[in-house]
Amino acid sequence: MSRVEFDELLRQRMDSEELEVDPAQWDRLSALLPPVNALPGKRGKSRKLLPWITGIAASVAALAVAAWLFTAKKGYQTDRPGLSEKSKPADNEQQYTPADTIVAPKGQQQGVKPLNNNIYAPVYQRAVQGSSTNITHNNEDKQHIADPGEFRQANSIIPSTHAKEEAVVKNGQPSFIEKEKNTADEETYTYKMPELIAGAAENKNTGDRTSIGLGGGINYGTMNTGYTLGLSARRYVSDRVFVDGTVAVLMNKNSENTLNYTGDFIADQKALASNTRARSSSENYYYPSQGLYYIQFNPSIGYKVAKRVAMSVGGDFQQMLQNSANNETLLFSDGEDARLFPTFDVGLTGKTEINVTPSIQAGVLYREGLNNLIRNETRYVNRRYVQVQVKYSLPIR
Amino acid sequence: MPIFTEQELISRCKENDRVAQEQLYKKNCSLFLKLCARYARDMHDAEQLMQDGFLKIFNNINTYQGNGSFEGWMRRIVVNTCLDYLKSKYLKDAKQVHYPAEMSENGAQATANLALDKIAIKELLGIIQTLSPMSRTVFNLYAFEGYSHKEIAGMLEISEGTSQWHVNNARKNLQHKVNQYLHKEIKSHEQSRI
Repeated sequence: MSRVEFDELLRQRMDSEELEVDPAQWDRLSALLPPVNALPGKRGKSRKLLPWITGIAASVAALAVAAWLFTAKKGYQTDRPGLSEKSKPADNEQQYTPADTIVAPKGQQQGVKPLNNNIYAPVYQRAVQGSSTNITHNNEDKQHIADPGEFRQANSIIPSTHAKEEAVVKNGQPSFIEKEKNTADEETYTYKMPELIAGAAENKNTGDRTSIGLGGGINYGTMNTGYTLGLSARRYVSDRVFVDGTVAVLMNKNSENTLNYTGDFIADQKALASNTRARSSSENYYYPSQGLYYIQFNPSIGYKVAKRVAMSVGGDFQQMLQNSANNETLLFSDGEDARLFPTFDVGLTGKTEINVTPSIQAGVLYREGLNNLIRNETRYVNRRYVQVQVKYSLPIR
Repeated sequence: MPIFTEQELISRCKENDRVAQEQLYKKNCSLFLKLCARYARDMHDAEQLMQDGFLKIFNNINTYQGNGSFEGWMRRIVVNTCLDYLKSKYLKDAKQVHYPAEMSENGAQATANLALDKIAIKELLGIIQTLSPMSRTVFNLYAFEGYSHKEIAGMLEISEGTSQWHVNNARKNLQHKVNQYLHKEIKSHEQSRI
């Protein structure tokens, strides 16, 4: 008989007889499998849908925030009679509130003067009527200035005898006065509001002051390589400074070295580090072979350093979406060391963004995890990564 | 317990149906325990490897697209689990081989072939487990899984010549140990007759 015949006989011998398996083995195995739902198959489907459900929920939340921002500022543009009462100034005090009456008295609409490019500045009309010191709001004569889309403001006042005195500027609104008309009975002043005018110019040149964006990105990190998809809302608070909020879903592909873990991490840390293949006598950990999903909220403040370039820094808060049940945590093991994946991860981000077109931005974000620093421990994975982003922005105002 | 076809088993396991998972396990556990026992150092390790293998199968069953044999797909996962375990535990320092003098064949081969039929499978697995981890792994991959020396060399990062040497060495060792076992059995049988 040849050598190969020995191998063949050995194979046949192995196949010819069954080996008895300990029945308790199945019980041990089934305890490690994901729990079964009442209806088979439902769990698998819901797990698959989880990222989508979270993504939709995040989108709705971001849209709600954007809508709130939008409607809150709408008050500037609409006629809201109730506000005139609230902002009625005290006696002997002239107060100009842009959110006040957006009206002009009949016959005084000539006071509304267009500035460059049809940008309208608010016009405050001052009627010189004898020695009265009261300021009145001419609500009876209220008439909406029908000039859609533009910011207008007029306020009829009956000023004091000091007809030529400077108007009191409150809350940083009107910053200087332009004398438009000076007759025996009436003076008209145009108050330019630098912030709004600058904003309008900004709108014309670089896009709207509030925008929402849909973006995606790829993360590159030692243990955090994956993808992200999210919605963001941005508002310019001045010419160059903006605040930005992003809600996103992240998927990290860490399945190769990620273990599900149900035990006491500190007690088992040493044992685990020395036996990373999840096959020691401890049954607290095992291979799940799954990706990691996080939902992310990233508020930031930024500065437009050049016409097309902006930089921002912010906090980063991420909540792990799986393994919240059963007291399970996820653990990363690279053969030398073992670390817990934080279920709630706090970090810092820095981002540089370039406007490729007015609607499309490309950016690079760097994230540093702060969990170990905050808790003065070393047992958490530092989810540090660089993210390359592309975003499509839609102006809403 | 209802009996499912293979396709039903696969689709139900993809839905995490515990009944189907148990059926799939019971259908294949003996086969995979034998497979793991050939690679492992002892039966305890073999059981643990089988458990790890099944966990991987159930966790990754959604990636099975239906191309090729399902049993073959499962088998590859279990073999890879065994290889991962061996690589991490025993094969790190075993790549540098010191070639000892080969054992003489002097008829051991023929008697070993005859003796194979007389040994219980558990004893046979025990003999395989006495081989060195590298020889055991290479011999299993070559004789049972059907890999070529070139493929084995790539998998274990050794040369083809080293792979050939391990197969020959394992085979001769096995033949020798099977013969020894048979002689011991015959002797004890004769003693019991006296």
